[in-house]
Amino acid sequence: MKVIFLKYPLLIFIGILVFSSCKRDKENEDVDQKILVDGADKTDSIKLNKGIVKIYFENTLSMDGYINGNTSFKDVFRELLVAVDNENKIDLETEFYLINNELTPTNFGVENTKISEELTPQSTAGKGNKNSSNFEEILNTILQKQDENVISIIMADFIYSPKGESNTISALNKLRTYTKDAFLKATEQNKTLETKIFSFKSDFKGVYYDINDKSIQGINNRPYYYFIIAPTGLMTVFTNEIAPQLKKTKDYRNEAFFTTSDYNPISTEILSSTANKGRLRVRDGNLEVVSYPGEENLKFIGLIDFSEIPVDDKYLMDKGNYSLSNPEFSIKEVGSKKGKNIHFEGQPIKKINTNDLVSIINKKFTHAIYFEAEGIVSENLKFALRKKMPSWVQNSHSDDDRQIYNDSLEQSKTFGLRYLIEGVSGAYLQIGNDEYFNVTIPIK
Amino acid sequence: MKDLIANFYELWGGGYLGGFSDQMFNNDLYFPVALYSIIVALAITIIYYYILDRPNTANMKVWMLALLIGAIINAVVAFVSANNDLVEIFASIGEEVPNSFSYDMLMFAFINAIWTLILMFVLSIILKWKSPNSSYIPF
Repeated sequence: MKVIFLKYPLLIFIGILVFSSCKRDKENEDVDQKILVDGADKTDSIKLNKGIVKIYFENTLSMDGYINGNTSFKDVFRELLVAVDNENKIDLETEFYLINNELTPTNFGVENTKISEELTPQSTAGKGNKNSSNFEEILNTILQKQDENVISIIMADFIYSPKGESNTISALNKLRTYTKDAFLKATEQNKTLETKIFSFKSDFKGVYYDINDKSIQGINNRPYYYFIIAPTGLMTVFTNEIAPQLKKTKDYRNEAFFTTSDYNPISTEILSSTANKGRLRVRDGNLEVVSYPGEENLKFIGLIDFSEIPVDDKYLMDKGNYSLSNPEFSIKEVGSKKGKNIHFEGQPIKKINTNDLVSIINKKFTHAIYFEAEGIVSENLKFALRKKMPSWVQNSHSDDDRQIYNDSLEQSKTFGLRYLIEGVSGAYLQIGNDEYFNVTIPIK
Repeated sequence: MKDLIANFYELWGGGYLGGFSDQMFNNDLYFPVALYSIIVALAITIIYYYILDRPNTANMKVWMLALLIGAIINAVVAFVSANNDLVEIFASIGEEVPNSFSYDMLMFAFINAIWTLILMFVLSIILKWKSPNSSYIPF
């Protein structure tokens, strides 16, 4: 053995090196490597331990059709009351109010979760003036009472009543301006105040009052809305714990969100090997185009983590809500990432390449954006999610409801809705910036 | 440093091997291979000039053989090291190393061998002067 050592020191040295190279374990072997399951591991940063949920029901004649007998409106309301009652993250107290020209606190002498059963045209009669539905005033009254520990929920049909105004457009503009004013005042006092709007539809057993205050019977389904106003912390509790119960109901339709906050920085990752056209090199977040595809445009997928953005998935998936500062780029699709796959609507599921899967170990992504670039790319890729009114608002808005009885599409709309929500949106845009986030991907 | 080493192995973009190169870079796998390769090249050069150093080894054939041995060892080191680490990394997500990586690993091993030859040549120029018998090798 001694002879071998003396005679072949080089071979032995080499043998040791090769052997140790083969056996070397990865340094971070003890790190628990896993692909995070979508939606899991949410950190809870809520510091509040007590809050009040103030629920306001618009007590007007136009709302009687929603509470006449057993309706879907009541079903959703019941879900809300039960969800609030069973919320365990913080201690929530429920207060219920009827609101018109007066604010009437009541619980009809029953426990909170039973209020929905007691809410009828009869039980709400004689509480203020049921002919009055001045939303500017209603919102103003509620926003004045908006404390830091309060979640306000306004349940209303939000049909604007011009009350004899000869110029409808002027009246609607007034609605927008006064609504904006009310929200500006409220958000100036508390910049963390956020607003969510949920849209539902319900069976309707009552009288509809059109633009001329003409009563129309025989309309069986109508939309209505929940306006939720709360500071960020409580809105997070509502979004994570209560809203899912409402969105599970069969008559939930849409959602809008308004905030002065932005959500920068946001986690992104360009995939170099999944469904791309052209050869890409991604290094420390920088994208280098190694080679362009022959006759096609350059295409690639960027993964993105939207889990901290409390915006409806429909809004996130609408490519019209994104802006790109570099005109060479466009967004082809926005899809969702589920496990090891990407779903773009109307397309076959795209499996994430194993090479890319390794690159996103221990990183969390919820969505995918398919980018396309025309020609040679000369600038960095910059994109942002804009704070816009969701497209459903325009689709749910009516300028003239006089033909509602004969027009089934009109029956699913709300007179003046766009102006009301433009007022809310305008206030938030005036105080905060107009982007939820923006991302720059340097391109070499 | 990470970028510099990657540039050597990817030949400043000319030897970029797609997913394989990405994994090597993202998981810092180039560095240990580079370190081992430098140690091997240095060790073999020192051994040639100061340990094996005899009148009958002081010729171009033996010197070139030493370079060849260094290149082969480092090619094996590069292939085995990359393979072992990548198998582990892909296993952590329940996947196998893509088949295309076998060719990429061979290319990587070949590039490492070429750099070893260049490095050993440079080291020979630096180290040869004090060698009792081989100071005129390679020239």
